[in-house]
Amino acid sequence: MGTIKFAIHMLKADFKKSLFYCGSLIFSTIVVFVFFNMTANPAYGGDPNGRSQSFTTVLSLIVVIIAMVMAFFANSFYLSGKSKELAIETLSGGSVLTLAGYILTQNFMIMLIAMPLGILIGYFVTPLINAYLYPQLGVTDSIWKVYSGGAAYTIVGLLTEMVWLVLLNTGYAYRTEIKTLISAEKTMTVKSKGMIKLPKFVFVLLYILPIALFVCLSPDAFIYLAASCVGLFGISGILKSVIPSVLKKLSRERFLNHPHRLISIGNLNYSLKQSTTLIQMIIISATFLVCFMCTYFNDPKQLIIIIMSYVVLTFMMAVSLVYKVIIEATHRAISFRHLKMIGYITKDLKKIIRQEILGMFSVVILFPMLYFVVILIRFSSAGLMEWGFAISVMAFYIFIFVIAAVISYWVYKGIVLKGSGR
Amino acid sequence: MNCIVEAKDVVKIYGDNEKTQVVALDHVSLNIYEGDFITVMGPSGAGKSTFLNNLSTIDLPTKGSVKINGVEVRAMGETEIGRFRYENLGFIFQEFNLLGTLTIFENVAVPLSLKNIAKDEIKSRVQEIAKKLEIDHLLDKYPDECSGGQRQRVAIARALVTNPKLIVADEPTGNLDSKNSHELLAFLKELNEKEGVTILMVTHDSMIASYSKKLVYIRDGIIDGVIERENMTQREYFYKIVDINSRESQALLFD
Repeated sequence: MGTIKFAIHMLKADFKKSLFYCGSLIFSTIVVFVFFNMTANPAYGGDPNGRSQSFTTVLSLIVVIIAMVMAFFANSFYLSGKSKELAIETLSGGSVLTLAGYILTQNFMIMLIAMPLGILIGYFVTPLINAYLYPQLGVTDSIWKVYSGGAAYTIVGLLTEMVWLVLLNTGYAYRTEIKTLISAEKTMTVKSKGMIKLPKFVFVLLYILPIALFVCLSPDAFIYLAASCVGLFGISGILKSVIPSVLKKLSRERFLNHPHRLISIGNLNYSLKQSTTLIQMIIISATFLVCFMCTYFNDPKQLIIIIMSYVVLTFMMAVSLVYKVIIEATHRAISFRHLKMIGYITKDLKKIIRQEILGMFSVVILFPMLYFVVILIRFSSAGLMEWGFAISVMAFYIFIFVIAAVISYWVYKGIVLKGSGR
Repeated sequence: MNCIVEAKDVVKIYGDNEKTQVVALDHVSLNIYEGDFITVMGPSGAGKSTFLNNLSTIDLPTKGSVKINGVEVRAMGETEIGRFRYENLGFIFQEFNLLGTLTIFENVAVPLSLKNIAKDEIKSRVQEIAKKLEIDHLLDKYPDECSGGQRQRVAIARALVTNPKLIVADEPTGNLDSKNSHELLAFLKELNEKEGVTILMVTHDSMIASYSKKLVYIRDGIIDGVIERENMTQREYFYKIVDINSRESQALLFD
């Protein structure tokens, strides 16, 4: 069987594995289409020809880039799930070109389904959004209009995404060895990421400092944004340095004789290390968008794009986090079976999973929430924002991640307890 | 002598469809007494691991009975089996089965955490067993940072830290080099002789099997032969093991 035939055969035989990747590509295409079309729409303050660059154009570009990053992220997980097939190809004498051909064939097949479907869905989603927003902005234009500037940006955006995916996949084929491919699905090694060495309390101080500034300074979104940047450096340090050492100490000193927490803390520590970049992205984007909402609260055209960005990004990040949890759960299924052999029962295992998920999502919800609460209270109490709006912004974030936590728990539980036997 | 495991007429059938069913164990019986060191050998697919799993609560027989300390395993609920495992059994496997998200110290401490023991006692017991197995310098490392031999020692430490009555080992040397394999077996032998720990082990290596006191040879799901070491030297016992293992091959020789 030739490489292309084998690639198509494996794709058909195991399409379930490709579902998340395909879904991510569809979603990112929808985001690209909808956002670029909105930025070209004069009703939202855009330029139909796509020549002038307003703040919302830049913001939309950021959202689109993040949507693409999510697609790349899904692609890398997709590749790690395909490592055994790739190892077989390599062991059968396949060269880098064969491997690249295999990956690219499967990728192009998925892209051929996902991108047109994404554009089609985007085409039908756009009027739905317009139908909801036009009356609020007093616009009477046709809700079905697709702007040439938006369409051009969409095509350029999708082509860029395709080129990057091709480069990413070819690079993966070039640099990956058979040994790595064989063990890629079960390895637990966390690569250490660079971090400026500072005493741990400095990171905590850097995180708290913006809160003090929010309280002391008069409500100004750009000053708050600058202060948040300092805080985000603190959050990064807390995630990479403070939390791991606190968790390590807790499991070694406090919960050594606790059958559930000893395991769940170890798992949580590992999961947080694995997801640091994603969690940082979640916190950074959400905090920035809250600051932008404060800045443009009285400019409905801009605010709508910002709210859309906030909703889409929060949703995308939550989905990515769920996917990350699913991948981890797949790796942990064997460990949970071992725990049963040691004497743990199903009830114990569920408790361990619950504690890990609770810890993981608490970090994602609580870290930015402290900033959100102070920023939104300051703006609302100064009369620069409505209380109802401020509460809705926070509630939406909490709601999405609580739902994501519940889904993660159920899927995690399903994966590790499936076939665990006695 | 006290009988720990009593297996009677154990039958294990895989598959629901009568046409495709596989009989992995066919009316197999065996008693394991306190202080025994039994090795199970046999060709690939003979049913060795199935036998081990059925004798150690991991799997349930389709027919027949397995009693551990006089209690029928089939009658035990999940909670009882869980408690029974951490109070009585220690598992050692070829793949080490360590938890990658925990340090070596925490891995060894896990079975003790189930016993509701004080933290200080857990620390001292982990330190003690780690010293005995010469892994005390690895306690802060993660399994991924240790070699195969070191990881197997950790798996043994975890299996022994609760002072189990029965150690169940499935191909414990499968991923080890010969030096580490013989060190491990010498350790298990000493444990069996000096501390009276009962051991049930599956291996395909005749040399490794020669450390045991009794060999059970399984072929096609039935016990095809039993060799008791008794007063034999290890060398004599080893030759007998080689002989039973190669009987089938010898019959195929022309001269």
